[in-house]
Amino acid sequence: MAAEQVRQDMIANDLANTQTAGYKPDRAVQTDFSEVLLSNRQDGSAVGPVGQGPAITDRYTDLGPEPIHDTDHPLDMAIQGEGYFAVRTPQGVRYTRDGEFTAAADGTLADAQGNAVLSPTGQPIRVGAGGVVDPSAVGVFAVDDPVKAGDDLFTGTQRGTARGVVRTSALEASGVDAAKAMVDMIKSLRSYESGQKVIQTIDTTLGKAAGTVGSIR
Amino acid sequence: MTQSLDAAATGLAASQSRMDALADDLANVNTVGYKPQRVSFHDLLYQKPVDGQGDGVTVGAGVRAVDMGEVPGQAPWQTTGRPLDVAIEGDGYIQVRRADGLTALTRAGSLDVDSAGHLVTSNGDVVSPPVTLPRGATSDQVTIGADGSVSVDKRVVGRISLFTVQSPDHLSPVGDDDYVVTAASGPARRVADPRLQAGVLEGSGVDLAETMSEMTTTQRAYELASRAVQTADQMMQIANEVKR
Repeated sequence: MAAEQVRQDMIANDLANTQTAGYKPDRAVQTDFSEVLLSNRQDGSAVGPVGQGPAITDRYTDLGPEPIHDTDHPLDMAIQGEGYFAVRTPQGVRYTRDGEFTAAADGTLADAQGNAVLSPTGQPIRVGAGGVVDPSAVGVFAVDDPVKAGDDLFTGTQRGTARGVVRTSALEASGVDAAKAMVDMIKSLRSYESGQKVIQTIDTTLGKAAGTVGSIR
Repeated sequence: MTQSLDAAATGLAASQSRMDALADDLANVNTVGYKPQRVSFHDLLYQKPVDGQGDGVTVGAGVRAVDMGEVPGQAPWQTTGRPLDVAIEGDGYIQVRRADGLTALTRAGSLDVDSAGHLVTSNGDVVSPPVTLPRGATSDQVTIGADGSVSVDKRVVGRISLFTVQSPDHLSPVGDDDYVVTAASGPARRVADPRLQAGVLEGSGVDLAETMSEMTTTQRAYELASRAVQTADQMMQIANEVKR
C-alpha cells in the first residue's frame, strides 16, 4: 500500500501539471524487496520463497520532446528536438524546456523568475527593438542526467550544445497524457484496495488463530 | 498520502487563476487598447515521500500559476473616422497624468479636449507632456499627424510624445487601460520616432476563439485535478477501512 501511495502522489503531481509548458511527467519504478526462503523448523527442509512486498525504488522522468503549439507572445520559445535552455539562477546554471520568457528591466531575456537566459556562449541575451529576439541567439544545450529542481528547472551536467532548433512564439506542451494518467490512477487505486483486502484477510486469519484455535467449550 | 491531495489542490488553484485571467480577457473583448493577460504554470519543489522507498524517489508538490503580465503587441485596428482617435503603430504608449496623481501609460487613444483646452484621454486624464489647444479651437479643427504633431487649422500647436519601457510585460495595470512603470519594467523613455495613425483605434488584443479554446482546456485541467482529489480521498477511505 505504501508503494501505491507514492505512485498516487506522482500521478497527482502530473495531473496538476497538465498545462505546465515544458513539463516532463514522472514514472515510478517499482521493485520487490528481496524474497526470503522459508524453511521447516523441525527438519530444515525448504518450504518456498516468500515476497516481502514492493517499494518504489526510483523515479524516472519521461524527457521526450512534446508537441509545440503557437502562442501570441514573441518571447515564448520552444525547442524543436533535443536540448535545453540554460538560465542563470542564484544557485547556478539550471536547464529548462519551458520557454515562457520575458524582457528584464536591463533589456536582457529572462525567465518568469527573472533569471537570465543564456546564449550558446553562456552570456545573457539582449532583447532587440520591438521586443523580439533572434532565435539563433538563444543557446540550446545537451544535458546529462537532468534532475527536476522545481519551477520547470532541471539540474544536470552540460555536454555542449544540442541539435534542437529554437522556435519563437511557440511553447512546448506539457508531457502529461491525461488519459494515461487517469488509467494509471485507477489502476493504482485498485492495487491499493487489494492491499487493504490482504491486510483484512490476514487480520481475519490471525483473529481465527487467536480466538478459535485452542478454545475450550 | 496528503501529498497527493495537496498537489492536486494546487492544480485546482492554478487552473482557477488562469480561468480568472481568461474571464477578464473575455470581458474586455471590446475594450480599446486592452492587452490579454499571460499566466504561466510552473511545477513546485520535489521532495522525498514517506519512508521505506528508494533514495532516488522524489515527488513533486504540484503546480503554481505565475502572472507574466500582459501580452504586448499590435492588436487589429478599427476605423472610426474621428480626428481625435489615434492608434499607436508598433511600440509605445501615450503618457497621461491621472486625476489620482499617478503618471501612467496607455494605448487607448480615444482622445478628447477638456474645458481648459488640454488633450485628455476618454477617462479625462491629461496627456503628458500636455498639449494645449488655442482658446476657442474645437475638436473638429484638430488634426493629428503621423509623427504625433497636433495641428489646429494646419498650424502646429503641440505634439503627442510616445513613451516606452524596456520590458512592457512588467508594466503594472492600474485599471482604465492605464499602466504604471515598475522596477521590473524599467523607467519610461521617449520613443525617438513616434508613429501614430489618426481616425483609427487599436482594438482589444483578445482573440475570442483562442480565449474560448483556452477556457475549455483550463476547465479540463481543473476537472483532472479534481479527479485526483477524489482518488486521494478514496484512498484515505480505504486506509480507514483496514480496521473494520
